[in-house]
Amino acid sequence: MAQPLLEIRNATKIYGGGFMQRSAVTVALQNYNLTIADQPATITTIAGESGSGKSTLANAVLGFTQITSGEICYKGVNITTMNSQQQFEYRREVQAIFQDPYAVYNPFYRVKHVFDLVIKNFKMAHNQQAARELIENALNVVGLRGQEVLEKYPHQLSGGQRQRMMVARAYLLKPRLIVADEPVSMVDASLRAMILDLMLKLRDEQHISFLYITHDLSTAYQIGDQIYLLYQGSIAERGNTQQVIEEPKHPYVQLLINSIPVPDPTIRWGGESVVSLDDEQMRVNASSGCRFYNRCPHHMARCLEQMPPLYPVNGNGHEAACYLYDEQVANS
Amino acid sequence: MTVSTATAGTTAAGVPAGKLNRWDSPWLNPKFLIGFSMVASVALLGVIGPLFWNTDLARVATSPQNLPPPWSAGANALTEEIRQRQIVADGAAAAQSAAAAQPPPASSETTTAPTEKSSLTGGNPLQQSAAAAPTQASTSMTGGNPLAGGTAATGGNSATGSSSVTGGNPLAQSGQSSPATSESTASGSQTTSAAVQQSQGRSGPITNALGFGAPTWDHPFGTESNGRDMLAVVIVGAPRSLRVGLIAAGLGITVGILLGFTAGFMGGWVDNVIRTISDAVITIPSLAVLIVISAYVRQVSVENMAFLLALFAWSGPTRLIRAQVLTMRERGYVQMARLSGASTFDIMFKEMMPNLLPYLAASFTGNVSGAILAATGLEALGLGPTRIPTLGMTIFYSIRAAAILRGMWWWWGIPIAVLVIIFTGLFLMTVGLDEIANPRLRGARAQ
Amino acid sequence: MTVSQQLENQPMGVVNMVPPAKRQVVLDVRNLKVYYETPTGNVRAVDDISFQIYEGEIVGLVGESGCGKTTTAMAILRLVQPPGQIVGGQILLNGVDMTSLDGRDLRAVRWSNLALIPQGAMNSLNPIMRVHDQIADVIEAHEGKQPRQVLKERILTLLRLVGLPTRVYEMYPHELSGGMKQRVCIAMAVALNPPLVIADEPTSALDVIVQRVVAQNLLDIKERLGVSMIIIGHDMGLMAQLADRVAVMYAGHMIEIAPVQQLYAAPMHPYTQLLIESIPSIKTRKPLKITEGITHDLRNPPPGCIFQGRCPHVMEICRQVRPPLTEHQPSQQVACHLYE
Repeated sequence: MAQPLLEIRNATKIYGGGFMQRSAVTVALQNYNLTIADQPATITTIAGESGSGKSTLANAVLGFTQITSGEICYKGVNITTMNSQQQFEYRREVQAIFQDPYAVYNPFYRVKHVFDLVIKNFKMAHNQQAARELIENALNVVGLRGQEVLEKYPHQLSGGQRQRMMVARAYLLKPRLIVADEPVSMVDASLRAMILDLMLKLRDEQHISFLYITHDLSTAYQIGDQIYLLYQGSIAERGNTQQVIEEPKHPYVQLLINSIPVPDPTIRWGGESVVSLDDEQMRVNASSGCRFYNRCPHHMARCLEQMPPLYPVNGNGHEAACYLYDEQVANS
Repeated sequence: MTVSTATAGTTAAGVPAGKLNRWDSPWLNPKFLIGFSMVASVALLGVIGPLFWNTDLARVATSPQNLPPPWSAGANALTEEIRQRQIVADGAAAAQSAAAAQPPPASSETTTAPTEKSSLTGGNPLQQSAAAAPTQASTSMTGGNPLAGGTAATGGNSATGSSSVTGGNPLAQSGQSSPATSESTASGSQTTSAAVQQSQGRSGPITNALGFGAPTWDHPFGTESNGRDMLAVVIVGAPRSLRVGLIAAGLGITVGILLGFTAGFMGGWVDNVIRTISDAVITIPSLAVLIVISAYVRQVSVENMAFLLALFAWSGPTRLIRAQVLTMRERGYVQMARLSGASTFDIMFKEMMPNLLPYLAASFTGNVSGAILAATGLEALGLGPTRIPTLGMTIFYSIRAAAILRGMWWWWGIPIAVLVIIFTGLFLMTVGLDEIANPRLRGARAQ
Repeated sequence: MTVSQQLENQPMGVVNMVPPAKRQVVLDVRNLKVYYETPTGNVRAVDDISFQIYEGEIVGLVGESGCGKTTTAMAILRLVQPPGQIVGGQILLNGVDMTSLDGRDLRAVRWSNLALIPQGAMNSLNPIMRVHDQIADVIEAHEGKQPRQVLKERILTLLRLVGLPTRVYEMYPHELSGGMKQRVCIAMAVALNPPLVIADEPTSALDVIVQRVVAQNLLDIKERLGVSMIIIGHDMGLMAQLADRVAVMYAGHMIEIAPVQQLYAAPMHPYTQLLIESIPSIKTRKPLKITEGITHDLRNPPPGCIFQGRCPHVMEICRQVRPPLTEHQPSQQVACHLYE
């Protein structure tokens, strides 16, 4: 198999501790593994709730934070050991779209500034004319027109326009991978579809892979190829998106999917009724073993001893981290 | 909040549109504008003042002493009183000149002027005893009265100059009467007041019991005991005070920007070091240290004073800017800039700095205010420049001359009024800039 | 004045309205108008809407952002901040006209008769007061000093009601998770047993599983206390699970009100149909339906139907006459010329 585009091996990120253990230790990511193939372009979804570690992952991939152990390799090269030339290439090929369409613009400048920064720092055009053409092209891809939006200040544009411009900016560099950190959660429902559609278009026509991070499983269902479900820093389940969401195996994922409100008034929340959750308690316990132990209807003694590894279920790359599926392997 | 029902005359177009208008920009904050105009008018005073007022009058011994401002409360009464005394003196002078041939009486019983008192502050320079005692001179520590001149403009007997610690004054002439004097009196080339002085046994213009002369619009803010015109003092001194503040605050903010950005952006041990040092400097009692330093450095000019103050003015801005940088470092657009390959320098000064400008401006005006306060404090203790009549030094002189006891309120009152205007103006500017920087501080209009 | 102008100026009442006979009206909003003044004209955030809330039901108020749902809630509570103001209409809460109340009377009505769970309610808890102090504060502000033991019992009952463990009584807000904080806010809202509670996006900042717990909690409270609720949101899936009736707003106009099952099964207004269709589902993968947002300028709405810019079935009359909200099916009201 060809070298993967992005490979994360055993990444662990621990916050806190510090000098003389001043602050509480939080394990944001634990032994995380992920692979994004070079070809064909795919949309890999990282789904999880708040506190599951998905933002930490995004920041680590983009180089904003350092992981405590493990490695993140882009095209085979560990990003922490890259020389400046390789770093330059990395920046050029890995871009991002963020959640808040307003905060990413410097309120002091017109929105054109975000494009100018890219063009200037990556030396993409020799003169104003060429630069303007590049920007026009990128804007057309997302359905905007330069003369309408470029000279405005961020607060004069709508949220949808701003987010689309972000996509245009990311596209400007023709990257290989775009990390999209909750790109549609702050956007109106009506524009959500447009942005997701854009992502699909970029994948199919421009062969750009995406790392799509979200907490909303319904959008993940619509556009993801692969999905990784995070629970408190470790992978609970992964595999083909459709398969995982239609037939979840891990108890947490099952609970999650059953809790999604179905837009059909005749079907009211299914699955086991959820007992009054003591959310705080969950984070404190289980420094070893499965984090979901307290809430899991199927927990066993074994679950407390050690974190279950990923076991294959259903074939096709579908795996779940639960001892329930270990017996299957043992029994078969 | 009025509620009109649908039928009471509100059409679909309803409420009169645009109660707000285009003048609602956040920069047109009323506090900021009022404050700015106050400070600007003081600064302009220094620029325009010299054009229409003679600033030489700010020098010692250029004006008559102790004139209250002509618009003050007792001015008319004082003028009247002095006129009366003038008349009396004229009458006496006429009698005197008639008896001029005879040796003038040695005693001064015809005079109504109070006899000489020895006084620590030099007494009233206009109170001189009878002209018969040429060597009588008030020993004055402040150099006497420039106009304590005798009758003879022809430079008479300078041997009778008043002994003075500071070297006397060039115009000190004795109250010697001489035939030549009376002749000139008779010839009218002398001022009437000279004749009056002679008859009253003292030299100088007519004053009231407290020693105040007749107010005149030649000196709209009055004059003080050193012979300085107060308006000239204000024109010369007020901008100097502002300048001290601006230089000191300017230096402070420059250092603050450099250190604050470095500390906030780099973090780690650099941050710890800078933060510890600036916290320590904040706790040092700056006035005490400045007093000691000023006492050592004898010759203090305006610029030197500003540099001294800047030693302590940098710690506040450093902390403020560091805090802002720490917040802004996590902003979305900073991350975007990093993703776009911007260098650290670019991020600091092209991305963060423009958004910091209102905070910087507010901090700056606050610092100017603090620096002027410190400078004035030092000057009021006497540690300021002695050759230039800054506002603080004027207050110092007035305290030394017991102006409060003597009721010369315009000597200390007018500089204080100017200082109040400066401080209030700066305060309003700071508050206004704070509101511009932080929209949440803008109060909602009453509902 | 032409006919169309006359019709334009007429207050938009609810025509042919047959209220369900048995239930009592808790809230009656008539011809409410809330405008925001801007230097370039008045933004019509809420433009003449009318609806009723009955006893013991949950009404979902839905619409995309900018449609005026939060403004409606704020107007009912008389919390509209300048430059916005209520320029017309009446709000009758149990017969009392809220728009005519002032000062002390308003304070008496608020919270004991009408409570609010604001958006991001978890951020409105005082970080330096313990939970029981905050709930006690609410109760005592309206009912005066209470004997300590009685108060404690009451607070514990409230906590049980929202499904929180007893130890929350002593805790500070920062020790609680998001879902727990939200439930504390719900407890505060129902502490005085108001007949009507307005919840503005009560679950938007919460995770899916916690959202379910909180939503089930709200349903529970409705059953036990008989509280009526207005739940404002844009998550159609959540509305389907929570609401008894749904009111759909678009650009400041009320365009459809219907019982939840009828709305989802057979939406009448073209906009509602659009909304229902674009709900992403996790049962079937279908191509995404792309729509635009509000297309016209809210300061200058077109004459006639507000939806004419995006309606696939627009007709000539739609451009001239604003359709009134009329009842076509039993208890289903629509503002559309298609059904005239």
